[in-house]
Amino acid sequence: MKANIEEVKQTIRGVLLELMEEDAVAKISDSDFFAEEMGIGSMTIVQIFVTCQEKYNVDLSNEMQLTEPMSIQTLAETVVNKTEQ
Amino acid sequence: MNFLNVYEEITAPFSDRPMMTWFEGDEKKNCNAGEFKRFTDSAAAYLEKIFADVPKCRWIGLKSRNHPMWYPIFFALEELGYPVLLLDENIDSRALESFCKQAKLAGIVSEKDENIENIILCKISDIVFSSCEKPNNISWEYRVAFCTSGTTGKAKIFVFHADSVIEQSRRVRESLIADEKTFSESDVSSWVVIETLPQRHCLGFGLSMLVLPWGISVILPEKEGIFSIADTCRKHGVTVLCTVPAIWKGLFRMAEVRFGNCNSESMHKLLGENMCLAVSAGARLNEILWEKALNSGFTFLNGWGMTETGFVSIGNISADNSVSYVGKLVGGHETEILSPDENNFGELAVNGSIVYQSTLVDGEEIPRDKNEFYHTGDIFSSDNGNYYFRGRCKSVLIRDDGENIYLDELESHFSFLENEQFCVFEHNEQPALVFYSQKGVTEEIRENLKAVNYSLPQQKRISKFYCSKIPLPITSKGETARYYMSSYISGNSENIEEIILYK
Repeated sequence: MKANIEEVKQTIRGVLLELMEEDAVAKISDSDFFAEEMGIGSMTIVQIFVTCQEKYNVDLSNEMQLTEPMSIQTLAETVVNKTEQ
Repeated sequence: MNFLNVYEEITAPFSDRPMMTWFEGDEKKNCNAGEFKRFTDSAAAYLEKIFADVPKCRWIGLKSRNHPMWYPIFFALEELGYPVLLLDENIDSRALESFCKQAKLAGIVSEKDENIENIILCKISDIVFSSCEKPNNISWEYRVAFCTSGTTGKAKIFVFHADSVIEQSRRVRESLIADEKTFSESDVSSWVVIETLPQRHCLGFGLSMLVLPWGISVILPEKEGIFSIADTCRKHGVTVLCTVPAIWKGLFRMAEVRFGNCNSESMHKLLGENMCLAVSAGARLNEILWEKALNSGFTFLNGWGMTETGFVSIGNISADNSVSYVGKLVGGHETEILSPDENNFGELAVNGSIVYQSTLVDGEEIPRDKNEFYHTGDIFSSDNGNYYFRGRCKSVLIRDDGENIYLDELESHFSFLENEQFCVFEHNEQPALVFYSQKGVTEEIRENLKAVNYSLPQQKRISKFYCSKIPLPITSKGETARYYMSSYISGNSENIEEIILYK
């Protein structure tokens, strides 16, 4: 079933809130790149991907290599697209 | 001595109880020593056929993330007479080619399809672990090699011998028993350590080689990710967690979010009532984490070592009221503080049987001069047998996830800037790049910066780029002043522009 993009974004923010200070998460916009702009560490990024994989039953192993910059928006779109396939 | 001795030491305590535990989907699996030996022999019988044309003593690479069969594969190769080069599963093709050349690799055992000329590939998924076969020609090897900074091209390879691995394990164990009541007063045979560090890394490998001979069994997390580390600890009665500061930071935060704080009660709720021993490794604890570690209710150890030196010191952080404290020597090393200043701070140099035995360069094994002390590049002081980490005199940034970033090596990737004055430096614990250009930031420079940054592994990408309108400060040797750059950037904002690459 196709995932709702806003719900996916909330899921991603939920992971960030479990692992980062609330103030730091509040500063992250949907379009900020995790590593390049926010300096978010690989442990947190891996957990975001793992949580999305499990919750939406999609395979994100290629995206997890982070060959392209990834933000809350782009990851949520990727998850939604994969749930459509 | 060879790796048969190591193999016997790690399996001896587990004749009738689980040595390793792992998960396949929702199913919990484990093996005792007998089963571990069957996995090893079965893998060796398979690998013997794959590498039938490879002469004994040729190096074989093992390139995999943590895997329940990682150790059986490692010992299978050693059993067949092949020294094993432990490779990072994430290295790019350029770095892999460099390692192949340096170690003159004959083969690689990998999870992935590797396409390298004249190298025999064996995929882990093809190895049979369940047969009753044994290899025909057993000839145990005595060498293993670790790589430093395995995710860029100029990494180095350090060779250790089996006797050094065993000596290191024994010395750390003896040191802990002598100095820590937790060990001398506990029956550690009921303990379980969770494996969160990479098995191919000197620290992850060293930890297993330390705990298994002691009778402490090893469990792998149920799934990837930090949430699963906490869940596995809690659900499966884990007693020991040795991990990097980045994971400790995440775990303290999880306890704060879930239980309102990260005191002893909350940390035990998060990681389970059995958790009693915590170790921080791979990078320094900062003051905030150090405070949280002190209040965590666990016996909390940290220490210091390098790939090249093995474990050098270890200690309980509560034994000395200083975030710089990294414990006492574990033995097996002689140390010197070189050219100490008025505070007795100086570069630490070490020597001894635990320091690496040789390096691999262009296919040649070059022995280390045993009379020479190894200069660590880290600044230390020592007082009455206690060692304190005081900083670095080498251009390495060590992130809180343990990743070493060699700044001058990173700089070499940006050689298109060679006509400008530029340097890569540490800024807020992240790598940053600054260059001086009278032209300012052209579109060509912007595109090149982006392209090069994305060719780097994610952990090593530059997080901030700056362009200076004025020449950058230089050292007395005429080099760009890397160590001063962070404060220079902060204090010269009117002349320095931050380059926003991604929007």
